[in-house]
Parts: sequence; C-alpha cells; structure tokens
Amino acid sequence: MGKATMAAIAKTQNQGEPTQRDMTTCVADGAPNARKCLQNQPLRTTCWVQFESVEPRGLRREMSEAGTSAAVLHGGDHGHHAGGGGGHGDHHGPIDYPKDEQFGLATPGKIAMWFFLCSDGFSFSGLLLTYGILRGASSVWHHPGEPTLGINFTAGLTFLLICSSVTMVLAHAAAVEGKQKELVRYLALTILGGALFLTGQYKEYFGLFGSPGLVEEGLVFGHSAYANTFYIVTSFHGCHVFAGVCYLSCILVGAMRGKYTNGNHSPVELVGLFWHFVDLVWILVFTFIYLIPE
Amino acid sequence: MAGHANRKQYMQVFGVLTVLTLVEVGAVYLHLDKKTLVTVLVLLAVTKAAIVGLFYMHLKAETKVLKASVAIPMSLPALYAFILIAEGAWRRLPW
Repeated sequence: MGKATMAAIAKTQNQGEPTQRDMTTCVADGAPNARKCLQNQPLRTTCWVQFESVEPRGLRREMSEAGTSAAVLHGGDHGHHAGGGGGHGDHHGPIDYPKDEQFGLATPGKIAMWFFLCSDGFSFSGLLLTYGILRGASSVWHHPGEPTLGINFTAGLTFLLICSSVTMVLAHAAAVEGKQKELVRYLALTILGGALFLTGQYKEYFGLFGSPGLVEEGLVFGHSAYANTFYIVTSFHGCHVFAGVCYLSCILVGAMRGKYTNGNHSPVELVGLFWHFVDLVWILVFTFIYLIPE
Repeated sequence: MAGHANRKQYMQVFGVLTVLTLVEVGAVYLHLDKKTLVTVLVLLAVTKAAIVGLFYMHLKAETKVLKASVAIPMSLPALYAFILIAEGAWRRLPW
C-alpha cells in the first residue's frame, strides 16, 4: 500500500463520518458503486480512499462534451451505456477509469490479464524447470535413433511469431487511433501468423507435403524424457497459440462491427497482451528446447 | 498511453528482435564451447523476452506497482532454475 493511501486512510479515520461535501463528490463522480457506498454506512475506509483518489480529468471532458451536469463513468470493457444518464445515449468517447494510486490508468481488465499471464507463466515455468532438471540429470539425453531438432525451420517459426507480434501491436495502435480498416487488416494478419505457426508445428510433428515429421523419424511420446518434455512443452505452447487464434478471431469479429474503434480499444489491448505473452514464451522455449546443444 | 508516435519504435523493436534471433541461431553454428554458448543463448533469450514485455506489452508505460507485481513473481522461477542448475553443476564436480 502506497504512502499516499496510508495517509488517506489516516485522514479518513480522523474525520470519522464522511462529510456532506465528500458524499456529494462521491455521487457526482458517478463512480459505479457510489450507490452501494451510500447504502453501506458507515463507510469503509478502503472504499472511501478510492473516491478520494479519483481524478476527474476524463470526467470533466465527458461533461463538457455531453453538456450535462451528471458525469457518468462507464464501467466494464464493453462500453455498455446502461448507466448513461441524461444526454449520454450516443456517447462514443474514450472510457476513462479514475487514476488509481497504485495502478495508474490501467483498466481492471488489464490488471486481471497481467495476473492471469503471471499464473500462466508459472505453468510454463514448471514445465521448463522439469525439462531442465531431467535434461541436466540425464547421462544420455539423445538416445540412438532419435532425431535432432531442426533449428532453421523453427527459427523461421520464431520469426513468424515475432512478425505476428508486430502486426498485433500495430492493430492496437490502429484501434487507439480509431482506424477500423487498419485494425481489421492487422488483426487478420496476426491470425494468419498464428495459423501458419500452427501449420508449421503440425509439419514439425507429423510431416506435411511429403516431408517426414518428428514422430515418423523416431521421436515418440512416452519413449524417452527427451521426447516427453519436447512434446509436452511445445504442445502446451501450441495450445496457447490455438487459444490465441480463437481469441483473436472473436476480437476480429467485434472489430469488423466497429466495436473497438469508437474509443473502447481495451479488448484489443487485452488480446494483444495475451498474444505477446505467447510470443514471449516461444522465444524462451525456442532457446531452451531447440538451441541449447547437447 | 500508446499513441501515434509509437509505430517507429515498434518497428525498431521488431528489427532488434529479428537481429537477436539471427545472432542466436548464428551462435549455435559457431560451435563455441558449451558454457559460453549456453550463457550467451540464455542472456539473449531473456533480453528478447524483456524487450517484448517492456515495449510490445507496454509494461514500460505501467506504474511501478504493476511492473513489480509482474517482475517479482516471474523472476522467482528463474531464480529457482538458477539454483537447481547450480546445484546440479556442484554435484557433478569431481570431488
């Protein structure tokens, strides 16, 4: 907890009951749970601190745009206008959250996505650690008859994922700038990159267009620690790419309907976070599994 | 927030990532001695991952708290891996 928050809590505790002025601010700010906050008397300090740190920058702009006295803060990531009071029916401006003392302007969705990615990172860490320990402890890693992993082809796949990361980040930039066509184009390119990666992985496992895959060449799941760790780590990553492609496709549909170019670009940022994470993990997997030689 | 001027930076980061990937693959073909090669590869990989996190995931623009709440948990497995590898190396020393 930051110093400022502590100070705010101390201040609130000294004050005891909230003053009339504070209550008015609370309501006027239109914070989503302002009503709840009024019902739960006496006010809990944690709840109160949030209201004290509200920075009405975005709200003021909305107020001047809409020309109403009741500024409404739109909650949620989907830009629903349910709470939009007088004159807010066709509001398409940016959705601003109050500036949080700890997390700044990061949306709740973004914070949640980061924590999810951390937990996902632990899963990958667990698998990679297992791989490292098994490999470090084994006297023979490559058993005779087992193929070595092709570096060149996988380097191409790595480059493909990096490219799709670039198109993703450009898609986000397009969403921020409200350019719908560009957003759709870059999202489609990102999906294409993911789909090509999955095709590449299929080719690597099972072979495609006449070239034999690793399974055919003798790297069989269940036969050795080498085969097991390889298939588990890379297929777990492949699952993430597949999930990312599905997630991106959903966002693409929304983008084609113009849902994210009216200021509500947060979902594009979230899918971007996931997609870059998948790219980031592949960078590590590529190094640890493929590049480190016997 | 992420704005108009960032496209140039995105492309620069893309260039850096591509070059680092080429360096990695090149390093494998150079047949360096194993310790050097592994050190180089791991450092390059961590650098690339950090670049993606900082610039593409915009972690650089986030608050200290969010940076720390990602960086601290994510550095623990790395630390654990380091300890395990060091332990393995120590066990293999010719006592």
